Amino acid sequence: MDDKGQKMTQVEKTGGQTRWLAITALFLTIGVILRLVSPSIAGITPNWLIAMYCLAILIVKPGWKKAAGIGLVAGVVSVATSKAIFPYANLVSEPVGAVVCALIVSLPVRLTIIRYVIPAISTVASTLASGLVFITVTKLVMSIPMSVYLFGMLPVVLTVASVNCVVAQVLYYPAARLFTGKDVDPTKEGKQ
Amino acid sequence: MAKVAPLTKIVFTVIVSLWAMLLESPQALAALVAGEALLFAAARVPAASYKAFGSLGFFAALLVGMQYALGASLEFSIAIGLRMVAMTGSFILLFAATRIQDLTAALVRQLKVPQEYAFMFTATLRFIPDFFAEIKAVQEAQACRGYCFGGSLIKRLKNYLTIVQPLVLRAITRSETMAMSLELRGFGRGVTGGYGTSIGLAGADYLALAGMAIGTVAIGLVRFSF
Repeated sequence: MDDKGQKMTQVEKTGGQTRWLAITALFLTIGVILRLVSPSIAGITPNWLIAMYCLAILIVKPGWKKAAGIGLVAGVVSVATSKAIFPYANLVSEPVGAVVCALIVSLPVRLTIIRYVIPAISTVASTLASGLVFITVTKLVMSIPMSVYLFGMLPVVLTVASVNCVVAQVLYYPAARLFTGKDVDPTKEGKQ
Repeated sequence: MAKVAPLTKIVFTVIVSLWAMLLESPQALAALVAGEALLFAAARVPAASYKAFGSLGFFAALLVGMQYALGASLEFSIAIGLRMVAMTGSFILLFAATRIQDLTAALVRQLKVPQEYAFMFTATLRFIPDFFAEIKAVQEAQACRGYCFGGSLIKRLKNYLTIVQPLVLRAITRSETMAMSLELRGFGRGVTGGYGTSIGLAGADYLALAGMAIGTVAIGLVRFSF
């Protein structure tokens, strides 16, 4: 056998044009399921979908346009599975949340301690942005009384933000390690 | 419903939401919800869809109670609850009465949604049953090891994390195979039209679209005239 002219092609584990697509779709599925099956804790149902698309954005690090697309898909999925007063508000709120997350992830953070908690920070900011946009759009469109907005909706946003923050921080490092196939070291700046 | 094109069903979903927004009285909204329930029966959707539609009633009742407790009038609170059922119910009907591949084809070919985002949306829905089964398997595995679910608020959140973590890690592993499979089929390289399904509009669709247009105009006139 003549082996001349044959060469081995090594494919990076993280490579591929569509891996971001596959991983985001699967994460959104997990978010939808958890959203459907999670019982209401003290009247508040955690929005796992935000935590999951933030996790996807943290891992695949898309640009803001791609993140807006991810957010829009998450919004459509949210509309379809929502138990909210005005489900269509998700079409505005989720892209805003996703873009906020992508922008924070792309920031050149130099402090190591901050880089460790970027998953938590970006998820909190994303949930707050998404939640505030959602409840404000709902209030304006459905003419919800201010008392419901302040005492019924706002506390839910704050609670969900704190829950999502824990979820993203806990899941990010093992997930990123598996995705990249190597340890993710927050003490090293830039994409890994 | 099976004879209606997916695009008509998508338009119907949006139109029902528009009607729910335009209608104000609880009686009119109740009639809209009743109409939807009749369509559920006519479409002969799977039993799980009836259950999902029924569970909306429970959440609507919670919503009505919360609105009323926080100072909204009873009529307004009931209208809000019915609106939510009408809007979300139309989506349940859409997904129950339409095949995922038909929905993807309609989104890409007729609504010109970029293929990758249309795929992301339909893949998200497509994998729901698979991940449901995986959640069950993880819970059973943990129960076999004597893991007890329940307890305080923090404990419950921790319980959920013990289910989510294996799911997320499995999803990452699975994404590699999925991405490879997509690329081998030429996904994202301008290879389109591989849906193998006919989604063109026919006579019944034009009739349904005309009916929706007339209904919207009539509701709009009633809403803004009185």
